[in-house]
Amino acid sequence: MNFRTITRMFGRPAGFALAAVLGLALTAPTGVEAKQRKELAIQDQPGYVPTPQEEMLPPQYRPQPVYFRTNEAPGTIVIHTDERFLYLVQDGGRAIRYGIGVGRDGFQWQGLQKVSRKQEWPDWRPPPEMIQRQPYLPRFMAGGPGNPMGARALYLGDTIYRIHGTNQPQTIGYAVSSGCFRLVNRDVIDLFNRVPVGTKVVILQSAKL
Amino acid sequence: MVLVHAEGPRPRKAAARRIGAVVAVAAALAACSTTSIPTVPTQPAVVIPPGPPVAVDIAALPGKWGLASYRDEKDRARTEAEAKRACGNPYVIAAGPQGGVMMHLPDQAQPTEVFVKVNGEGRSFIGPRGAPGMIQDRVVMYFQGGVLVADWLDPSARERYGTMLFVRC
Repeated sequence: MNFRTITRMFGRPAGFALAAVLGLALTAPTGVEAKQRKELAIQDQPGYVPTPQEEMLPPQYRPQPVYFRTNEAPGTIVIHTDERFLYLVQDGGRAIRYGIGVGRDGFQWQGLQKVSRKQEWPDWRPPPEMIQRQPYLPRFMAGGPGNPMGARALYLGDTIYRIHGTNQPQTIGYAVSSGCFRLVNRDVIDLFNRVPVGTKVVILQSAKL
Repeated sequence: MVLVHAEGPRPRKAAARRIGAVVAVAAALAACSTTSIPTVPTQPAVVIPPGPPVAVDIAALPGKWGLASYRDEKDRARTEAEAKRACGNPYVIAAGPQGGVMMHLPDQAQPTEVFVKVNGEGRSFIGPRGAPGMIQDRVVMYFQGGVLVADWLDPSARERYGTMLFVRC
């Protein structure tokens, strides 16, 4: 049962509340699970097009309304790197929560950015070390299905980082990237349609001992 | 209950050994009783994308090329510009020892000597020795003015990497 179904059944406010309760009650990740999902040793798979079954995420990583305490204004994106969640803040202490893949250890960061550009089917440039391993790869791949950047990209300020889609749904919930935040294509399309250029993005990272 | 639990591992090992033996015998019997002819894995049929006949002079191939790819024709001009920009990290084609050139087959980290092969319709293919239009070949779609456009015949490679566009650096 997704958010749209719930709101259709109960009306938007009630559906939101019910879905939030269900979401909180049933899909909150445990500490053990977060540890298990720490890092994933996987290479990019340029050109791989995942099946709809592969894009079906574990329940906790599917988009869902949740209660979310924050001082940020509705419409703000808050990324909790350690939780592997991206929150789109809504009215009334709520947010829509999406499961994400984040940067590997050493590639994680925190800060305050704005969405500076939005791009459908972004292009992809394999990193030089990947070209070294696979010299036959094109140095530039125009956007399209199977592109590792996925269906949509939200560029963050003037940094090299983006919130983007992926053709590797199995990486959601893991620390896998070089600092970008990835969602499955269906979810990044949903987020893309909800946020305009100029959206505030807060990237949080818990302090580690 | 307790005794079974305490002795659990040994009976399980014995059972595993028994099951293994049964499987082995069953496999042997199955092998004896089979009458089917061993099958050779079939390769997917090679589909050659439609295109014009294109002549390729193999002597024009060695050197440095900017390499990019696209899937949709509307992206071609943009991809060509990006290929030019990629000359900072070029794809290098070397002359081969047998008169061909050294290029990569799909997903091969090391280059192989490939040749230009022309079929009866005048279509040019770049690939290992053999008939034109083998699954390891690329079919040349365009070769003019220092631009080479080629499609993999291997459907998996074509799907994953798209149409390859080389621009002479």
